[in-house]
Amino acid sequence: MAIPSGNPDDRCSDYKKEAVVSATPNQPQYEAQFFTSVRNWGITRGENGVMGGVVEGVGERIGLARVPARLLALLLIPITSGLIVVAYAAAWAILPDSSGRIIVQDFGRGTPNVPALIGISILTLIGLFGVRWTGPLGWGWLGAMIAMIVGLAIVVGIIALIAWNITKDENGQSRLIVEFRGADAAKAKAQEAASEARKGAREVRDSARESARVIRDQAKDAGKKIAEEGRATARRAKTAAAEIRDAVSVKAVTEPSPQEPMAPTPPTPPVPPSPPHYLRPRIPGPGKAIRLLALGAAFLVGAALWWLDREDMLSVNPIEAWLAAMIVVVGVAIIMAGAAGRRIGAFGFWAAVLIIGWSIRIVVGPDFDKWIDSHEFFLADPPRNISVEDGTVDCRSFDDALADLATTRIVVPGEDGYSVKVTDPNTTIVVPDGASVTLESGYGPLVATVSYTRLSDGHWTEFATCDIEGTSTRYHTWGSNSPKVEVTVNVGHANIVIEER
Amino acid sequence: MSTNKRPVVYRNATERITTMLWGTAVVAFGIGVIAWLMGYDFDLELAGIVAFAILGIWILGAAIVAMITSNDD
Repeated sequence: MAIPSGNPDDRCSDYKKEAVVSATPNQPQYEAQFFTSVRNWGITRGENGVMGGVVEGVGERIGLARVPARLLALLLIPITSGLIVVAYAAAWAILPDSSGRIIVQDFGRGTPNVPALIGISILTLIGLFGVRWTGPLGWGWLGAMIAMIVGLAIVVGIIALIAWNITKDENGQSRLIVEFRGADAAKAKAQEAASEARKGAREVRDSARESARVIRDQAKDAGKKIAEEGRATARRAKTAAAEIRDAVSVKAVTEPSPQEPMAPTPPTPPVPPSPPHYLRPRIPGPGKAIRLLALGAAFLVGAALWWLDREDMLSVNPIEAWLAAMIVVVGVAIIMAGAAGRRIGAFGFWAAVLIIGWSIRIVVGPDFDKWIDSHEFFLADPPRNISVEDGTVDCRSFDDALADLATTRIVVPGEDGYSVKVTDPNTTIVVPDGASVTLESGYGPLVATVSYTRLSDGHWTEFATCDIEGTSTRYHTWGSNSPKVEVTVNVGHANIVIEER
Repeated sequence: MSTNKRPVVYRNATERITTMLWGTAVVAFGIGVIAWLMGYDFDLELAGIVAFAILGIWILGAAIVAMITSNDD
């Protein structure tokens, strides 16, 4: 394949033309509209790049020299928390090089550029590692979700690459791809057969039309002949009648002239039936009623949740609650569409999106804190970090703080910074001797089993056990003094053991 | 009047039940998410059992309807 030259737009169009020209009839080389759109951007990866030449190509497109472009790119890495690295990897994968080749497109066609794919994978992983939800562009759990999806895509890509390498034959062609191409060839044969069938049908139709024309002509000739004979008979009858009239001398009687016999109607040639035009039946979509019902329900649920949040009656983020309710709404819409025998249409897509998104959220969401600050507790005011090992919070070194700050909370940073969460399901909190403890369920439902033990004669005995389960804010106080340690737990199931030493 | 208008057909009973079961599964998942947000702990093993049961009902329902309607295609 010749390397096109000239400006990027021309190169791209050259490549497209060439791709069309190089396509064989049995294996047309189509290009997805996406890649055509990418080529139309006019950005080609540079040939002097350090890695993929993306910065050089983008810089060239916007009129920036290589060196300042690279410096700018390096500057963007810390600012964007690694996002620019992910963007670089994506651009490396989808931007064409100077010869018009696109890495991901070639991968899809079974001619992968393995070093480039490895480089893209490494860069993506590095970039995702850098995308922190605590950086200037904190993405929260959404960032982690995107990271997970992209990570999964990378894993799938690597597996596909391995599968391609395992299944490739002596010609370097993957049998999988060959099978796909075999399917294409079968499809082409089927199309050819259909074309032949259509051609045959056309021939039959033309033959039938010709036969009909011949029959019509013959009938026409026969009709003409019969009409001629009829007219001759009429003439003879007329002459005979005149002779008779003259013979009997009948006056003033005008005999009606014999009517000419009508020419017989030629037989109608049979009309050949038109070839059947098959139209695939259409299953209607969910319909306006179901769509509007779902939309109305979405708004109503949103209004209800908004009101609950406004009244401080909602223990979770209203948007999260709305997204959860939307699963039910979409599910009901699917049931209604199914009952009506209709397609579920876009509801299927939204159900998949919501289910996948929530699955990821449920599996990794509550543990986001663990990923970064799994065992860092700190006092809210003043903020003091307490490193915790094995889920044990040792508060004995905070005698003064506990004495002075009777309402100080031992908190774990949550999503809003000060909402409280016990990340370790089995947490032991050690408090100084004599300290009273108040346990509070921060808000929302709490399922926690709290054991409070006191050292007695050298043995730990259970002093009090409390199960908190419910939705209200509840306090449980041990000891007669005013509370000196207040443990606040937000959500989830936890076994909290408070030991007094 | 266009002669190329595709005829409209509705799904048969088997497909309807399948779709409705799919919707039911989506609703069940949504209720599970709401429960999770309310603080209830997830018993993944139980969820797996329920998922298998739903799958079984799904397949059995579709098979029964297919037998009733003699539509084994």
